Amino acid sequence: MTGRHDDRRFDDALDRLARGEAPPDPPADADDRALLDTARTLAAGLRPLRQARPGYQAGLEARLLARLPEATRPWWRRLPRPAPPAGRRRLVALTALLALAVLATGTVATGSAQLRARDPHKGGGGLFGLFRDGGGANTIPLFPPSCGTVYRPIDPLAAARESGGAIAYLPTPPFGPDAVVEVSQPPRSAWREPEGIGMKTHAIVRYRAGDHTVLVVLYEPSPGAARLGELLLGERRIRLPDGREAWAETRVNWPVPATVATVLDRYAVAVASDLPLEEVARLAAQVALIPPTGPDPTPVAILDSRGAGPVASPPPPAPTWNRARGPHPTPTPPGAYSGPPSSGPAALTATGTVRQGGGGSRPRLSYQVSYGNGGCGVAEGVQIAVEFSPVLAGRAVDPPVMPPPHDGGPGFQAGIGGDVTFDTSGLDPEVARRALAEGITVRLTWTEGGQRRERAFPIR
Amino acid sequence: MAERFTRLYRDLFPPLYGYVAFRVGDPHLAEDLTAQVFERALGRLASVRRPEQIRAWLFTIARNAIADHYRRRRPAVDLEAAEGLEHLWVEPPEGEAIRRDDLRRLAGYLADLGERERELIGLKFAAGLTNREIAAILRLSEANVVQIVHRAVVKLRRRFDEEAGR
Repeated sequence: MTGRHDDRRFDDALDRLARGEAPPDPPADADDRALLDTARTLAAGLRPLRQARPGYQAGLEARLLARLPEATRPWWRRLPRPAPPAGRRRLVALTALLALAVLATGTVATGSAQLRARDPHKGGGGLFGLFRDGGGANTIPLFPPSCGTVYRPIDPLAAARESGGAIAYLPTPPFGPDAVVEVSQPPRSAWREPEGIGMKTHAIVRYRAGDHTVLVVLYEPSPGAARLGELLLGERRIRLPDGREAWAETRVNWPVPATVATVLDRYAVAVASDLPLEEVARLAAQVALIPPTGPDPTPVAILDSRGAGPVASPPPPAPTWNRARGPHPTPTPPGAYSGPPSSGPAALTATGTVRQGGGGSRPRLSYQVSYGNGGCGVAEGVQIAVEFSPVLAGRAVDPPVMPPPHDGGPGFQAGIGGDVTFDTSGLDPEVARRALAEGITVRLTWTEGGQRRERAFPIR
Repeated sequence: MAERFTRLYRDLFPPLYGYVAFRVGDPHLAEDLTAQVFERALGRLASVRRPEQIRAWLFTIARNAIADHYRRRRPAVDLEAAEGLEHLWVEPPEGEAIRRDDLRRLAGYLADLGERERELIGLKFAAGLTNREIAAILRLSEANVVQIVHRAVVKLRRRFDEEAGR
């Protein structure tokens, strides 16, 4: 096995294996045959890595297409206009920025039709079709609120009455009467350019109890975005307990890894939580919508090329929690906002898959687990442990090896995986079957603020 | 432009994702890094005039993104260790006469390869690139690529034989 083989033939065989093709005739040399066997094993083991999980490739394609320069150039940049006089450029730029802020955080436009959601498993052009035949997809940014989002401790119904804005909420709050219920509502304003491509968040209702959180987020695409195509609401399509169609996504480095999105009229509602996906789907089926009341505030027009425009009303004040420096222009009422705007606790979460293999008295559990910090804080000395049913205690033939303790800042993400074979000889087969069906429990422990914390995540 | 981008993306995503997944060993992280690579390349991907060069260019971005990732933070999982590489493996499709034991053992042996050899194995078998493409990415000669891949396969075979007591 030192180099007596025909290099060109051998390399051609390797190329074919790497491409997934059958190699030519087996080499005469026994060493070369053994090398090709090794290469075949490598190809068989590594080639499947090119296949991402279902829906991911198509979802990324749609997101990227939505960001292509021609596709998504902001609407105010698409307006044909000459360059303003130098002295006015700063004013125009500032106005454009304000326009963007309102586009991102404004309130309800009227008269748009029911949203269409795209099948994430469907092959095809994504946004490509948007420009060809109108049959493509638009993406919806169903990312969770950032660490800096600030909430008011107020009942959603009261918040809707007070603001007149639209809110989606859970009529029966999760976690029972002990839940902390809070609402975040951006200032209300109208679409200034209804044909622009935009998405806004109307309201976020947060339910908290202990370590668990449920967010109900109400989104609305601009009428132009809604008309252009279908929205990609999640990486896979699911059915809610009430039979309605919904879209699910799981991201471990989000504070709330499981998201289930539904369509309500012209809105998209995302329920996101660290609870199991099935529980999140159950909650998503219970969401109620409070429509906006009263007329929308009059849109603020962007300045035209001469630096003057039909400004009907001043732009809404920027939310005070977005001001990076300087004192607040008006005092914030004591207790009006909960939580600091830019820091917070770590929120370690884990998700994954587990499946059974092997057989007889040597069953096997294969698992893949991702874990990470979706919170704003730093978790020190993070340790992960994989546990099995107590029935299987001491029966692991090859106990899993865990990574050493490490620190995890906001957004950190890591993964482990492996197979564990159990010796179930002498155990009642039914008992063993039930124990294996329990899957694994991932236990995360870490230190935060000098205190040791622990969370367990069952994975079936 | 969108059509051109779509064509390139669909051609490039599988090998790029496979390579990144091989290097980082975690599918979620691989998704994030692959998305980063395409985002960085977005504008030029649709307007590139010499598509034959784009693959090497994109993989260079991917290598930098992976290196940046590991520079930014201490890895939670020691990917150099054999046990860290175990979860790279995907069960081969039914009908492929490859024993899972062989896969598991090879996963461990991969950790014993040098960094460059492992990188070449990733580009060759996880991404399915040709020697010419690998040579362009790593700025090596094709002959050098052939030599390193061959050496790596020989090392892996030896480990197999040693364990089998041959």
